[in-house]
Amino acid sequence: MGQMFTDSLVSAFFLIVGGDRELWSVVFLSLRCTFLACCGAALTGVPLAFLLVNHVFPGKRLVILVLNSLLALPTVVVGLFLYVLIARRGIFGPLDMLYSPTAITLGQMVLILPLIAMLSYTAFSRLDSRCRETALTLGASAWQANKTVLREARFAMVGAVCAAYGRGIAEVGVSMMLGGNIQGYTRTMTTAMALEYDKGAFTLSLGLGLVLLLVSFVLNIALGCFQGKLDP
Amino acid sequence: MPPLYELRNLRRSFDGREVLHIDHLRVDEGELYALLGANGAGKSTLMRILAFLDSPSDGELFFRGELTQKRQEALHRQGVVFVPQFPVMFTGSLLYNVEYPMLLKNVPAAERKSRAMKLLDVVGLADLRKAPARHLSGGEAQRASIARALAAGAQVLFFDEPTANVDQRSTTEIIRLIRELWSSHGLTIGITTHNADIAGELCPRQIFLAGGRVVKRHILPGGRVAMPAKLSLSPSGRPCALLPPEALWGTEAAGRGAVLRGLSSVAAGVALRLSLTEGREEDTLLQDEESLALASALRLGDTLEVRVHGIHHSAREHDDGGVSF
Repeated sequence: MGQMFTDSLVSAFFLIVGGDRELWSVVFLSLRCTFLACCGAALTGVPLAFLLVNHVFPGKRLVILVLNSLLALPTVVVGLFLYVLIARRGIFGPLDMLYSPTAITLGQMVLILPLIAMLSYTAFSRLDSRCRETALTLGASAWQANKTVLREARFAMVGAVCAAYGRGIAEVGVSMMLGGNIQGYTRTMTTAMALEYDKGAFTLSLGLGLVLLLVSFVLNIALGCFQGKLDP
Repeated sequence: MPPLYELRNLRRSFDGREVLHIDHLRVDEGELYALLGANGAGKSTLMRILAFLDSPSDGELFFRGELTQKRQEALHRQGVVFVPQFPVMFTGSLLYNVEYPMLLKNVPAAERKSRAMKLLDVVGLADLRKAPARHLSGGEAQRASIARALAAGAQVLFFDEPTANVDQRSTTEIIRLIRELWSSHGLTIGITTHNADIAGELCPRQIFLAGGRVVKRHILPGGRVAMPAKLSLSPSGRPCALLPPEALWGTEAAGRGAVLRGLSSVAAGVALRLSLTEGREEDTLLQDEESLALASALRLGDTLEVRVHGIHHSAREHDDGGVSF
């Protein structure tokens, strides 16, 4: 067993270094889908968190409660709900999104939106509430004051996006149920790994696993550099 | 020329609880004044309203003769800077923080930097220009916030407890800076403090607040502070001067001397025996309508007894105005 693991690891290494076409197409699709999902979730989640921290409105506590509950949402549940919506006979069926990279992106966005929103909410809450007031008293307009608050919370925000990216790229349920694991079209790293494992082909599976680890490692390094640069 | 601020029947409530009620108050351009009072007296609330960071619940606030409206707050805020007790420094260098107000106005980089350096020089922090602003000490942060306020083109400056969290040396420096800003730059400056000595030393005008109301205003020669003290009869019928809650600040940094000076302004020349009382008894006695009658009935040489915290202190005020314990 140990010998098999070592052999697979070495083969996986050469697969990565050798630029295996199939492997890299899967990797790029995964990176692209999760990147777009992160952008979408950040563009929605950050303003939502800002609204929750700075405004009082009916149902605010309920929104926070729901978002907190959604943090533990299983990926298959997201996949199932969205499947019902975008399947051919669903409300959004005419858009013909099922089994496409768009569906994977959408699913991952729904999955990581609560994470980005709640981590941003925590970041804004921890930020000195007088920060905005200081900006205002120094002559900032409301828009400039909001920008200042975002700037002050930027490190925590990048941390939130990195955490969300990690959750998005490592999930299987959404990609499998909404993407369908179609070779060369919707096959992502995790669905490919699951498939290769089922087939007993550990080499590609391990190679993809290594790339996943590498992505996580790079993300953490980037975060560390960002922290060092911006948090004097 | 209209006054800088005029407040008429201004009220501020939080959750139905009224924390500020000013019948009438006028502040002129170029004044240096202190808002004095105990914690919860309404000093900071009033200051935040004057700095247009909060709005009154009711009443009228005139700014340069013009009745202010809520939607015009951003406009009025230009040139009015509020410096909180613990100034907020943005992440980045001290120089960035001083440049910040000029960045908002798109001042060209070279001009911005040179002006920020000059201002840092004025407050004596030029050497720390590259230091992370969030790591400054309390005194340095106060001075940095003065430079930043000047960079914002402040004409009216508010300081909330500017010396509350700094050492003696920094206190002296901050007082010097505030005085210089007032005398040389002609700014209108308001400070809140519960330190009567600092208010007396720095500000020609003191406004006393208690329970959200202006209780008494005195400008005494030589920086002496007139305290709003109320006198009452003790339950035993013996004369007893009670310190109202707003007088308790006198027992902190300013010491008992400030309290005594305050009492003596109510009943000048009276030799005092001072002790302190706390709790409900004090609140009850404070409502006593006889207090003013007793104050006017006191004569030179009478002895007063005051209880606070159950500890008896005795003191004597001399003919020259000094107090000995």
